[in-house]
Amino acid sequence: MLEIGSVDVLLFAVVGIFAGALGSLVGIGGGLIVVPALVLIFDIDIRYAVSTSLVAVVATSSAAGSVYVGSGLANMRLGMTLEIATTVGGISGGLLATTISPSVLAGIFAGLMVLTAALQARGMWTSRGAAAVAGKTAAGGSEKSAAGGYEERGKLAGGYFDQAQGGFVHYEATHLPAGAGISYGAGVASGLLGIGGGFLKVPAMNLAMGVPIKVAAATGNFMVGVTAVSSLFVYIASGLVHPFLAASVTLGIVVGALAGTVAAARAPTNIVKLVLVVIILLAGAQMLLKAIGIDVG
Amino acid sequence: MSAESMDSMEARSHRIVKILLRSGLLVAAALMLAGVVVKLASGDDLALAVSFDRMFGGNIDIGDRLMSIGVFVLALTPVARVIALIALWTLQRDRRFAITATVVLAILCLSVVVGHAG
Repeated sequence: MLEIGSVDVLLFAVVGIFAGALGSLVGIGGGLIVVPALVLIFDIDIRYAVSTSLVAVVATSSAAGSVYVGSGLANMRLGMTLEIATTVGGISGGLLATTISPSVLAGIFAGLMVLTAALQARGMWTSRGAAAVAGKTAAGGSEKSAAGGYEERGKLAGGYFDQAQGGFVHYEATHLPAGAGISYGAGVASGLLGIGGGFLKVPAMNLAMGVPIKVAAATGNFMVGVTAVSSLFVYIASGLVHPFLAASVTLGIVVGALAGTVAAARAPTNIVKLVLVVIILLAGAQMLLKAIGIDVG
Repeated sequence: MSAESMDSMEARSHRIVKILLRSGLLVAAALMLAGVVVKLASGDDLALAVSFDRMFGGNIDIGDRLMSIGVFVLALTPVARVIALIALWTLQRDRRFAITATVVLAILCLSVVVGHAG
């Protein structure tokens, strides 16, 4: 049960607008904003916050897809193969969320926030951290390669156009079991915490399977929506989705994402990122305290 | 099948997927917006959580129903992508991946059932 009024719609939508805007601007958005905001500011049960976030993840993923499908970088054969693992993970995560206590869930989420803040901070000091690219995955802003790329049929391989090398670079994906294992973990994280899971999937493909980072990021984008759905269905079936909450936040995200893409050119992204890292750390600390049972204003 | 017709088939499937995603998103957004408006206009104080049976069956007011179906339609957009890829890879005679995508679709259908039992 959720008390509602026009004010509540606007408040939830504002959360969505922030998440959508930040997602387009700096690539950190979705679950990391929505879940803590709903839990800490509105005192909403974390499981409803997570399911709301999953709806948002699907929305941003499909929105990005409606623009970027066919640009060639994502290897959908690879993505679909790993999706077998991530969707099973998503179901596991969703089921796990229905069984473990909300405080434990909040504690795990707090840990994730601190980890993300740390990765982002590190990514900011190195010129091209994998965290930065994985962050872009969350926004759905995969880098479009000028001449795109291709995937081979019948196997897990493909190529992409590398400007620096002036031609197509071929790659083959190897170590599938390792990649699948990490993808399963990413699926569980997605189902449990309402996040896209890109920050696990992209390194899984890039580092464990030898897939070039641009292809991994684009493919990760493609995968995120499918994974979110696998756990979202579990939440819906378990009666843990609040359509009012989900609808208000998602409508906000659409507005925010549009505003974010428009403002992207002029926004001082590094400052925004820095502020965000600080906020995430503070919110993460607050989540942890809440999980332990201390309520800090 | 020639390489060119394979490529044009692929390009066509990408166009279809984009249209599916865009329409799905629009329909979902419209339903969610309509549901929110109706819910507020009806003066109801409480919004409820819904599950599948409530969504399509039972005792639920129209605002809640519109919003839930909107969420459901949104959830179907990634499913549509998977189905489109099953079709594409089948037509391209890429059996291994047509089967892979079908397995993923089966898992997604399973997820609907699994939560229910839990």
